[in-house]
Amino acid sequence: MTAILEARNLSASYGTNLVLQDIQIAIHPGDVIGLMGRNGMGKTTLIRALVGLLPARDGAVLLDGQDAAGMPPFKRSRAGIATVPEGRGIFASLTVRENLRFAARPGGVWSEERVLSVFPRLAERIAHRGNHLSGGEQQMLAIGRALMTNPRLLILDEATEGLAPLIRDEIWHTIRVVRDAGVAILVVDKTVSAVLSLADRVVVLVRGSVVYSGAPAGLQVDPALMYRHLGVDG
Amino acid sequence: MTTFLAQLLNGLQYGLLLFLIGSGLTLIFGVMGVINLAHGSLFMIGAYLAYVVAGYTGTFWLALPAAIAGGLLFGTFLEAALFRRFRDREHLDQVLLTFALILIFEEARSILIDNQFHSVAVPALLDFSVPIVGGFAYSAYRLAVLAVCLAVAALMLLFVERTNIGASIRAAAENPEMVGLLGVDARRIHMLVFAAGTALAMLAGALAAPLQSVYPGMGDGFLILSFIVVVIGGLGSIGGAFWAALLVGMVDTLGKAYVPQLAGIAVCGMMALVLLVRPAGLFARG
Ligand SMILES: Nc1ncnc2c1ncn2[C@@H]1O[C@H](COP(=O)(O)OP(=O)(O)O)[C@@H](O)[C@H]1O
Ligand SMILES: [Mg+2]
Repeated sequence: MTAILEARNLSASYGTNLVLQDIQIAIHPGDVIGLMGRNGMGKTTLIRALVGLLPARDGAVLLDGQDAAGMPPFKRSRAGIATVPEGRGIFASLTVRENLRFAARPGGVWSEERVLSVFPRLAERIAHRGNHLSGGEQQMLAIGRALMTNPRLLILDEATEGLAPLIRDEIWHTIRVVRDAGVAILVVDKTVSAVLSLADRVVVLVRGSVVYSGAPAGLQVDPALMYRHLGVDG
Repeated sequence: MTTFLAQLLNGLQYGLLLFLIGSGLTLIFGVMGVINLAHGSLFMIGAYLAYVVAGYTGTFWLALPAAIAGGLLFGTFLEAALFRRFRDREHLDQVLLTFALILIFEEARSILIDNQFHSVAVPALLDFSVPIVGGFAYSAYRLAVLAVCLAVAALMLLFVERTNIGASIRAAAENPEMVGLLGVDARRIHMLVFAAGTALAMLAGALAAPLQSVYPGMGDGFLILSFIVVVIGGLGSIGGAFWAALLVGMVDTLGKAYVPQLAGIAVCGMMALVLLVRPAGLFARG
């Protein structure tokens, strides 16, 4: 089976600063992958390279098996890759409805009604502008808006950052709902336990290189790795 | 008293013309990230177009649709041929490009028309004065310009704030990266914004032609004041540009009338103050 999105020997840099080196990662339909690593290890950079915001310096990003070099982000999105970026990227001056409609694409299972039924709270806030929402509501809107594009793969970068525990649980629950709908997921999150329990596979980055790629269990049996690379007491 | 009233109306009308120019400038800057120094020259081109159209056809009225249609076409062409390629370039490159455009537009004007001052007659239909209060009367054409500018401003605000395309424009001004991540091709938004901005500047020039002489470099003063409008109103904010344009138009007009010693610096001082106190713009959304 061809991967939806794949990094093959991928290196990327900001200027002369090489941030990703020789990365291998493949995301197949239905996969749930946790991308892990401490702050500054290159998780966001890898996502930016995968979605087309940062060019590959070496190696390649493949979309459905085809080299995606030079393919702009909007085309990758249309090919089924949806992103909830770090910081959420809500349009502050657009209402909840305008934010959702902006991303809407006909012909899929995720309609405005369906998104609002998954996030009833957004329905209550439908006419409010993005900058008048709480952090949790903004995050729900960011996820709901990404779903409006009817993706095959949903990428979430620090989606529970800065949220209250109850709201986090709600976000994790929604991510499971999305997974159960058959959408592949690539998730970056500081809550290691939540990522390990959700993902079928984890990839750990240290200074821009993959140091572990495999089942969550393989990581959990190695407390040293857990502590050194994820900052978790094993 | 009556001169004060006249100055107030002049200030309002000047402010509204500034809005037509500044609103395009702020969107082009805010959405595309391009500094367009040639925006004032588009105003000049609109005025010359009015002079030519009125001269050839004998009807000033045809100049207005001509400026709008011509502006849309010319803006589309400029965006596709030049500005698109300069979006990701450094500001210095953009400044060089658009400064070169000013020279090219002025040279083209010199070759195609001439270097003289010209006047465009106020259309006969509106060539009278309207009594306002007491003995004070005001030019009907100036009142009509006021009304047209207000109508255009209202339409633009409605379009940007209430329609789906308007929402895309706001989205692109706020976060261009996110626009692409959601699968929307920002180039279409850029083309629309640039074409509309060009049409508005040219319409402003055509409207202004009967109010002042049509002459080489007539857009320069407008360009500087429009940039001040963009800064005071907040980058990319149409609502902000509206209030800022009225403020700048008033301060400039009243300043020139009552404290001519300060006229040159009043508006710039205001901008400096805004940059110090609220660098995101006086009317920017919080
Ligand atoms: N825009 C940028 N310009 C230069 N360096 C950057 C930029 N963004 C991130 N970096 C650097 O790249 C490295 C990886 O950052 P990032 O991908 O954001 O890490 P993570 O998401 O894992 O916390 C860090 O050393 C960071 O300082
Ligand atoms: Mg990050």
